[in-house]
Amino acid sequence: MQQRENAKNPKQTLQVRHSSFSAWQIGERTTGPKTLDLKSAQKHEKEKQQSASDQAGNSTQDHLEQALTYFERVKDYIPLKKNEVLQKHLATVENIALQRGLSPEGLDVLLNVALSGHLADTVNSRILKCLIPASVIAESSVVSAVSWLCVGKCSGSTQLLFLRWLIAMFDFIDHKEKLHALYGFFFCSLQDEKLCPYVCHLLYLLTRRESVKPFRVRRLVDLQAKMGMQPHLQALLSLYKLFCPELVSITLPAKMKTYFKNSESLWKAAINTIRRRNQGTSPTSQQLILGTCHPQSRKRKWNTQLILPACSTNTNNPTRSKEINHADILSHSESFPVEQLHTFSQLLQNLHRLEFPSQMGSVLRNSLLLHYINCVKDESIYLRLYYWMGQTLQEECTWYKLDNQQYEEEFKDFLDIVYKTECFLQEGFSSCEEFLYKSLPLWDGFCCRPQILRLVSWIPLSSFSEMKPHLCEPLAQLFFTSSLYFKCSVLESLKELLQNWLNWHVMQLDMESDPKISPLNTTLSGLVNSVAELIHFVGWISTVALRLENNATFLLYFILDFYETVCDVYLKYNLPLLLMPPPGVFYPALLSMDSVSLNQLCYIMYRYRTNLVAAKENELIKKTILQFKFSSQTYQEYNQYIMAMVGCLWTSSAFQKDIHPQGIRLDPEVLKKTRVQEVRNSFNIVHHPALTGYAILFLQQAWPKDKTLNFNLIKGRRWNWYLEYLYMQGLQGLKLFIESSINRVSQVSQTKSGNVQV
Amino acid sequence: MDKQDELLKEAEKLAKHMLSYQHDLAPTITSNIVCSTDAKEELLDECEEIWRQMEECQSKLMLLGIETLPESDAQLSLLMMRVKALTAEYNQWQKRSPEIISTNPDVLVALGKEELQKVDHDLEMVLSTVQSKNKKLKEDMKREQQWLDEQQQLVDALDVTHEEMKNQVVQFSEKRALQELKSKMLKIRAYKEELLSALGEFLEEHFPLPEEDESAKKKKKSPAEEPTVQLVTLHEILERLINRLMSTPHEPYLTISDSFWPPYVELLLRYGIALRHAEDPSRIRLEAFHQ
Amino acid sequence: MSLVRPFDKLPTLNSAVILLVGTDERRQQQLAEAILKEKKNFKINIHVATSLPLPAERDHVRPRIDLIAFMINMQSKHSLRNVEASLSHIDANFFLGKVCFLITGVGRMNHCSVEMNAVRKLGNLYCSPVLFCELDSEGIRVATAQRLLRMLQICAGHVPGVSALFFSSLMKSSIDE
Repeated sequence: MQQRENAKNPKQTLQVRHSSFSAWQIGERTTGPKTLDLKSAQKHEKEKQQSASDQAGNSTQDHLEQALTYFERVKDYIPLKKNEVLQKHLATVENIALQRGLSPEGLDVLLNVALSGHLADTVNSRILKCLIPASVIAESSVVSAVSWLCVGKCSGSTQLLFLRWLIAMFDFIDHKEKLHALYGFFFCSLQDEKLCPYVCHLLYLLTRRESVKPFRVRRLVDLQAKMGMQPHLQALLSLYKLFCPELVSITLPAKMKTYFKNSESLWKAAINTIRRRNQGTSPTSQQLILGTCHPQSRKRKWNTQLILPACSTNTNNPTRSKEINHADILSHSESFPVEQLHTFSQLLQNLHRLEFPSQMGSVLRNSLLLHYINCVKDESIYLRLYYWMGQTLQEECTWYKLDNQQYEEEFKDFLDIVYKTECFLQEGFSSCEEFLYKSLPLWDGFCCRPQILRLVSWIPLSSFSEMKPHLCEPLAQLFFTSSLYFKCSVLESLKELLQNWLNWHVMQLDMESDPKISPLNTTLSGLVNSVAELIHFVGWISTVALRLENNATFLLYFILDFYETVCDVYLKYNLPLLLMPPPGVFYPALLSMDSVSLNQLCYIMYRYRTNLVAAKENELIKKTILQFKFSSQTYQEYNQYIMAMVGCLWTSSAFQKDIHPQGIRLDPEVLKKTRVQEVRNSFNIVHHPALTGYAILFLQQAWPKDKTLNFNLIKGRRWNWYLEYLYMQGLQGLKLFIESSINRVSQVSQTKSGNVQV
Repeated sequence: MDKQDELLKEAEKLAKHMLSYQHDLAPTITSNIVCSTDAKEELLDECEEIWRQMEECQSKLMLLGIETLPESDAQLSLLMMRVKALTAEYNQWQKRSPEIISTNPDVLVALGKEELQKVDHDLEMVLSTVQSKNKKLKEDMKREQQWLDEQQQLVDALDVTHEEMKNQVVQFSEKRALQELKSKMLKIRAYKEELLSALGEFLEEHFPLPEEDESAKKKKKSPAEEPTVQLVTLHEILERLINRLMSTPHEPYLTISDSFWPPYVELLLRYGIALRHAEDPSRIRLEAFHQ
Repeated sequence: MSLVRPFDKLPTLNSAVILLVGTDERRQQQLAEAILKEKKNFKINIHVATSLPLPAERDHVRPRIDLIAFMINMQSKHSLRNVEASLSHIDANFFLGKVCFLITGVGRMNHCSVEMNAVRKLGNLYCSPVLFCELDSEGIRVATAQRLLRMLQICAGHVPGVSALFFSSLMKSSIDE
């Protein structure tokens, strides 16, 4: 190292006295040619422009300029305390940075000063902490800053701070080709233990497929052997593994955790404030802007001073060195820059050579890129998306961090976008799942309620016993203590969760031929178990909820909706599972006072019958050893329910003959006490409280002159008329049930009549 | 009997409104205050009876002492208490048999009206829920249809590209392949030369041979000592390492000679450009960047 | 030193009483107001205290308490210790479903002086539900007030068929089939 310093210093000390930019030129020859002459000319012009600008705060602009000029020129070590000029300029810069952010040129000057080691450490760290960009950061300034690291003049802590700054501001850097070229340089810094976590993070952001080389993998594995399994090394290795799995042979844990410490905290608040103030858009939507550079139109709106370098790669070609041109010729794929992707037809033409933007989050808003994700099987995309989403969800969660409460609207928007993406891709994100598991126990049931419950419905299928403590317990606690509407919303989202699982299963069956490695490794029995446990859970909470809400019809509607999905699991989704609703749901529905619930229940029982019959037939026909024999208990339960239903609707004997252990059988003494005349005939399809209204209407239509409502008139032929009347009123479920499950002794034809006993 | 008729009439009106899917407001079911006094009295009697039972229970409860949790094993004792209490509750439920609320028709009518009002209100909520669900379903359907169309277009476009590429299989001409390879080779060679010369320039400028104080050396030099070895440039060291690796990949190690300036060797080792031999510290090799 | 007992007095008709115990009086006040504003069809009586035991003089005036809600602020260890001390001054029968813990301040994970584990252990030890709420925010305050009301209804016996003990055992148990 000494030799290098010796070599460099004499040249520098020579140049340092000049006040021109030649010093930068020397510094940068070590890293590659640059557009420096252009820059210095621009800078002078810009200074003129800036001084001529007529914005409010012109004086502050002048101060800023003075400060910047001062910093450019300072070359000697100046201790902070003794020098008031330095302090004054430093304060100016800090103020302006926090208010409006600094222009790229200003950033350039300050970066170089901070890292050149001329000033004291405290000054350097203050400067680095206030390096907030107003718009973008020029790549050249970053490269020249990095070049200072070679000189070794700045202290270790400044280096560390610089790395953290780089990670935090990564998205602001306009181009990254040169940074990618410096990959090897950063890679070498892994040796340093203190810098290692941050360098790993930076490399994680910079790594592309081309960067994964065997010697780097070897180096990382060696490091890991030396330092032990550190999460940051693990992160980088797993990223390498994703890009080139054949090169990384060590096993890495499949379940991912958050790897990197948060480096952004120092600047995050300031960035957010500036963004909000200048653009009036939310930080999350800002992050989701497509592309590696911000679109120019937005820039021009609020900052006319800035002259951006063009975003597209074409204009940079003339300034590149010969070296890079050769690389272009030799490389076979040119990637289509994502910023230019605007129409669907462009997507179609360039499908095979798109490159993802460095901000993965921008993908979520762009429907074109979503289509692309859907087609492409690149796991690294999912990894990047996973990592970014996990970070953002955790950062912006409004009940995790109280400061975020004011940004609840934006968080809700973000959750909506995530939900829509999940709907599009028809699968849930595991980062979303982890976020839910972490935050549901702390959730108060109120913030972002519809969004969170919708996300619950996309939790990917996994072993239910693993999910139970994270999902079911907090959800159950909230469920029982919250309002009727919350209960219904939860039931709705659990129903959708069930449907999503079942749909996933059906898609898996369809793709059987394609040897797709299921990340969950669920066998059929595992799936059946999970689904069964979910259904049991919902049955349990429904029973309790009905008791708590006193059999509210509204609640019953949602519960029966859920069981409408459950009853058809075998025939519709091809999953060998049949579960009856619990008696706590069945009986309130049977004895409900409104016809809607009764009708729904009848339909559900009809579907159960169809499923059971089909299951039995399959058993007999196929004669194969079915893995899942439907237990006789299911049939028994069904029979008991059917008896109760028929008793309620037809034979009017439910209260006498119900054999279900939790059923509605009443002792004859109790029945006598009710003092209802003709107990034996007083509860059937005519007298059922839900259908009494229809009976009255029917009687009025049939005997308009008869003012006394004599229900006994409805028998014989008129009973059939009454039934027809009911069917015409929309009670289709009732119709299906009666036609399928009740065998009439009379001559009326039944197209499909089974026995009452199945 | 006429009270029952009244009730039934109300139920009928409600049924009529339940059927129609228009937004008629259901008529408010007037809650007649139960006029007959004996119904009221009956209810009050029941209440008194229950209150008496409560007072009895209360007096029994007061006899029980204060229970506090012990310091140690608080959880266990609390759980035992819960078990006992839950068992007692369970047994109580088992013993209960269904009771009739009342046989007084006035009471029943009032209760019935209350129930019907609740059902009416609930059904209206269900109606609005179903309507909003329908709307959402329609929107979802439209969105999914659009996605499906787009995906179909993608599939079609890819199929077309696939077909095109299949048809583009050029006649395999050996000559042309050879020509292509040759031109590639030329390009690569030119690139290699460029790289090497750039590397040479870079090394020459920034890693020259040390210009040590000739005077200091001369002073230290004693006649008995051997003349100083001529140091080779870093460029030279690297070249030797590269050649060694390329020519004899099974034996890539090079012995460090005195002509290598030690700080440069350290430099190469520290930044991973060269690796030491595992057993022999005097031999180094170039890191295999290409494999 | 009077011990608060769950069944030492007859209940008042159609009313329920809740006792809020916690060191932060401002939050207690706000929560109490939110509860009072809620729509309900029974009378409600809110008692507020910073710690137990309650002063003995007002014993005869005080009605039967149906639910005790202990408020703990994650930012202050003092509130936790206060609650722990107060817990020994209530009759053990209260823990059969008439106690709950309200935890506030989870939103500032960086400044929490109380460990999450300590709070969960407390809930497990006393077999009582732990509710998380940020009482500083208006909407969450209203939602928490609603939840407390529902629990209060059950603890006061207004929901037929569901006892306080049964209800609290629901919150703790996993699904058993």
